[in-house]
Amino acid sequence: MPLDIVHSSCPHDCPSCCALEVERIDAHTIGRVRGAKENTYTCGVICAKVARYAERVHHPGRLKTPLRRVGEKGVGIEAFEPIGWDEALDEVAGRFKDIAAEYGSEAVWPFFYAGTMGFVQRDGIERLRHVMKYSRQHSTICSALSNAGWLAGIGLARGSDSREMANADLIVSWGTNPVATQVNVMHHVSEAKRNRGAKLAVVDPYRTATAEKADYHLMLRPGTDGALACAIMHVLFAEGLADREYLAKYTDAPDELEAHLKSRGPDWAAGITGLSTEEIVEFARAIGRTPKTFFRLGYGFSRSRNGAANLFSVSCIPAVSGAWQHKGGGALYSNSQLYGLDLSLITGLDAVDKSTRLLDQSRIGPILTGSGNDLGDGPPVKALLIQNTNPVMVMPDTTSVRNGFARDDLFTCVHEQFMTETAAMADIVLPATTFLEHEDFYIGNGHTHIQVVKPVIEPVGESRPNHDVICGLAKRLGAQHRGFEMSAWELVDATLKASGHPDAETIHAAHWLDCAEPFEEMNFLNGFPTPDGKFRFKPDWSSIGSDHARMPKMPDHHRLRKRRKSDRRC
Amino acid sequence: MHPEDCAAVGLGDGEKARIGNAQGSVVVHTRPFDGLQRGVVVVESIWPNAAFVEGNGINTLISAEPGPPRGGAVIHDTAVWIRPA
Repeated sequence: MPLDIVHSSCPHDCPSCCALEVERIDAHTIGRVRGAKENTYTCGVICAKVARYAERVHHPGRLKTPLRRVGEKGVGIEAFEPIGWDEALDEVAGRFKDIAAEYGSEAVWPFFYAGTMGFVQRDGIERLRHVMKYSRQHSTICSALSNAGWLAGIGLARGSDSREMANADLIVSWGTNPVATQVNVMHHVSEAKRNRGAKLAVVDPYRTATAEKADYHLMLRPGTDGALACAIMHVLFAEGLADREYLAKYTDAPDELEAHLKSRGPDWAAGITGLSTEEIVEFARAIGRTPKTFFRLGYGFSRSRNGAANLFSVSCIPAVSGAWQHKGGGALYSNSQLYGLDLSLITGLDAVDKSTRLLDQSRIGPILTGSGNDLGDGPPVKALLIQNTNPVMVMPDTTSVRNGFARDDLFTCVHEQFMTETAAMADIVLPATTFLEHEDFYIGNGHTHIQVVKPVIEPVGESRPNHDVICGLAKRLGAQHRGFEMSAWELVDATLKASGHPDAETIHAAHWLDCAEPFEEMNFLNGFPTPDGKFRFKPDWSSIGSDHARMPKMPDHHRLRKRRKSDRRC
Repeated sequence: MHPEDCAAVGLGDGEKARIGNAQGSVVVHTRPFDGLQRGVVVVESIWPNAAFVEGNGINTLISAEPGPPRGGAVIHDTAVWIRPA
């Protein structure tokens, strides 16, 4: 009997969001997972991890029933005993009610991130939070710095169509290691190399697997990308490689930028970056003399105190060289705002009370241990509901995070696929489905497709989708919202329609919807999505974040003084 | 770590190094590597705490201080000292 091949989408937190073809052996079992050949970004290429997803889905460590901890925190599965779903949800809801009654609703903190990138299963926890007035989450662990840097100049998280890389003569991979983390980029780079003899440049503090394949590797000191960007632009202006016609038409302050960069040449940058003056000049000339230069900006170089300034500074380069005008040229950081999604139904935006406390997820350690000023006048966090993330492992300041989770007076519910380090600290653990066992929709931030998927197999054991858990808790907590009365599929369908897209069945039947706009729109040749349509060399940082006073006025190597403890709130 | 840095602090290939700062310290195995500048240290990825020699993962060393203008984890902005473990 031929294998049943079912279309799906990778749910992981990665720009590629691959279109998948999953072998279904029977209603409970998958085989190999492959990339969809017909998808013009995935092109049949997926990473080794997802190709072998059967090993995860059918791993003996998958959680199969709700669990109550009866032993010590941190021990693992041996410290838990199985319980029924009703008993588990009753206990979680009961504890949340009691804690909210005693300490106020802000003592409960739903906590999540992007373990799935599907909107219904990832963001539905926000709806419960908003309706119940639980503490809000400032979602900072991944893209807060990089988004701020990109929005500063360009205005929206949009950029060139990633498939244009195949038409480039120079591809600059800046602060990203696609061989390891985003393998599809390398497919399109290979196309450009084979068809056009394109060159690959990598800017990264170390010789990654991507850097090993590069024609240029700018191996700079960490956190000095702003200096390199300034020196590149200095050379472009100094050597007649800046596109002055483009600058005059599409940018806010080219003359001020040129004057600002006078003192920021290659010798200056060499001292900061640890690169030689010669390699900086050579790289700048390659950019300046290659109209079809495609800048693929990653997240890695934004993960510094000066990270937003660094990402902003690099985003200025194609506005000086004019690379945006040329097919095969341009820049991409993320296309997450290409799709015009209206997530208000899923996230319960109509129920938000903005006076509710906002807690920075990256500071969960200081928040749980009360060591900073994060809690304000509000109560301590006494209860956590965690989906799609493993904070004990991934969040900064592990010592504080672990000390916080170890508190005897903290009630924690974790909804997970496996007994993670965080689940091992929980009082109640609920088994979660994988993306192959539930409905959702996805967008690629590294490409231009929406995908709508249905389950490939039945849930493993008694595992349930995030949406079911959120609705089950909502019912017990008395949370009222029409989103709690809808199925996951109805939420997908309603959200797509509210966002001006075709309905869920239509996109699902076609496997994906390509939302790419014409080149002129993707590359901002009709203007940038800023108030005056121009790229901003002088950003309005105050419109982006409250800690704007510390940002540089123009692209720069930005040195930040260490903050006082009393400053630590955002 | 750059081979010259390894030599300067007395660490050979595969030897245990203690890396620390005001946040704490963790123990990892040394790999001399000339694909980075002197003074730069790379510990790749995020592995479970239990995968580390002393059970303390690399995020032990990462500050929870938010980067401007609107927060963000400063994972790659971590100054450390290093000595043989």
